[in-house]
Amino acid sequence: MTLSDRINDLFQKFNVSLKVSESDVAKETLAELTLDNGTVIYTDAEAFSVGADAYIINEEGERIPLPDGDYTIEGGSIIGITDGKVSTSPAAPADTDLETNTNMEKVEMNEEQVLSMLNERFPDLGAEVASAIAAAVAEIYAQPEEEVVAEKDKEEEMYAEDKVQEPVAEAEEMSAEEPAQPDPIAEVMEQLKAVSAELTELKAQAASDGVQRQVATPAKVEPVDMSKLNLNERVEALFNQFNK
Amino acid sequence: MANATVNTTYVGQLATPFVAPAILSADSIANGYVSVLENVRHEAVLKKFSGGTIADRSCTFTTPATGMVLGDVTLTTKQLQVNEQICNKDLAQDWAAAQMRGADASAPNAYANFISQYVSRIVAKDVELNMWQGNYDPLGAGGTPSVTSFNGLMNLYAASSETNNTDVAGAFTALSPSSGTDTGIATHLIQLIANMPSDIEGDPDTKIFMSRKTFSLYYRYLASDNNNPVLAQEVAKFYLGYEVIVPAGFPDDCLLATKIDNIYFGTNVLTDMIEARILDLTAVTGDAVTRVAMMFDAGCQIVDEASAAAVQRTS
Repeated sequence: MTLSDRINDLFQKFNVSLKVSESDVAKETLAELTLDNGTVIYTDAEAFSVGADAYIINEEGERIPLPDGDYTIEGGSIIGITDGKVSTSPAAPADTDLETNTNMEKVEMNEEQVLSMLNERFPDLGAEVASAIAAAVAEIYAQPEEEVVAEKDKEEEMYAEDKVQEPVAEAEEMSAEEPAQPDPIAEVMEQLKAVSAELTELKAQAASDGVQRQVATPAKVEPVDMSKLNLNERVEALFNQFNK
Repeated sequence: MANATVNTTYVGQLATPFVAPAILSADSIANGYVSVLENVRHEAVLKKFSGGTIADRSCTFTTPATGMVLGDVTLTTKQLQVNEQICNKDLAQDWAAAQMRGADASAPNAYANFISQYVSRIVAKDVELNMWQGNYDPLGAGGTPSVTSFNGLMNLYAASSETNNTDVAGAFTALSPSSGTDTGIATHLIQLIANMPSDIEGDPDTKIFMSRKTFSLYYRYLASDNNNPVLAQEVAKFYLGYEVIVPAGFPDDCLLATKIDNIYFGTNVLTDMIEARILDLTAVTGDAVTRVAMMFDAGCQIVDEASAAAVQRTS
């Protein structure tokens, strides 16, 4: 149940009839942007300029301010949010350094993209004006086909070189950082020698302990020194000795 | 009185505790005065060899003129038995009295064992006597042996060639030497040493055997001759370097000089051919007696009589 339904229930309960139109609410948000994750953010201002509120609208129509942070918008630009307000306009690059900004890559912008952006940010501009502006911008930023192909090839070559250099660089790094790995063949040979020695030893052993046989052996009689005993003591000592 | 009813027969190893003390507790066996073979089954062959010379090395095999001679003698045991009858009234009281002495009393806790030990003491004395003077005529001829169970060592020596023997007349005395033919023990010892063969002369293993009576005479002679009875006690243990041994069963008026490994006593006490029976006749015949029966073999032998010397009284 949405918030509007709940409100309507309350109004009906108290005999108050009101209608809430989503289109009116949407019209009150003048500008909106779509983030790279598909989330749509809104603002009351005409554009996401610095200081404008930035919020999202949940299913119940509630406005939830954006948490602080940088968000990537579709198209690659980044908008910064602080305390629920735009701190970095998406039109401006994330790095405010002018020197880096001067080395912006040429982006290909077609007329449709420009037109949709104008309609989005400037809905009161008018269809004719927006179309004219879009056509002009598209002409300015459009790249020749040759440069596009060359740039693509260059990107591919750079990607391929990076691919080759990376393993080499990784190998060099590994060799520099880690100690020399032991020769696996030598390890296997050593293990093989150990196994061979163990096998030789096992072969020399009998398959089993054999049949256990108890041999009846007479009890071992320990000699008794009787030289210092008299006759009676000798008789008793010998009797006890053999009576074990 | 304790119930002393016994009726048991022991054969083989079971009889060993009863028969062995009767034989092995003999004085000469206990003290090692003779060589003992304890597992003789009727006969035992004793090897002896003589001769043999060392010659210069050569390429030919040449036997010496007097080569090594390997001979043997046979020790033959004689089947013997002990039959004793003991009154239960007397012996049972002794046994009960021995039991009453407390935990330290060495008396056996079984009446059968007590009786067997009593008999064993008697048998041991008999074995000792027969070992030395069994069937031995103390006068050489015309006398009567005191024990006749089996041939003793002196009987065997007298029956041999007596190569190194001197016959003397008259009983031994403690007189000091005078004429050289007197009956003094000192004179006889001089004669014994003079008879000693070169094989054993000077050998520290050579012993002089004499009876306790003869040893007493020797002791008295030393005491009177040195006028020092105390000194004589130590001096009497040896004569001219030879140890004097006094077996309990040695006959009087004779001397023997030999090595211990030259005289043997054999028995089957450690074989399965012995037997012991302890029978109480109270329930059989009504007699309050216990009969003890033992069966064993015993015998003696001298390996080489020429390796011994003796002085014997013959008249």
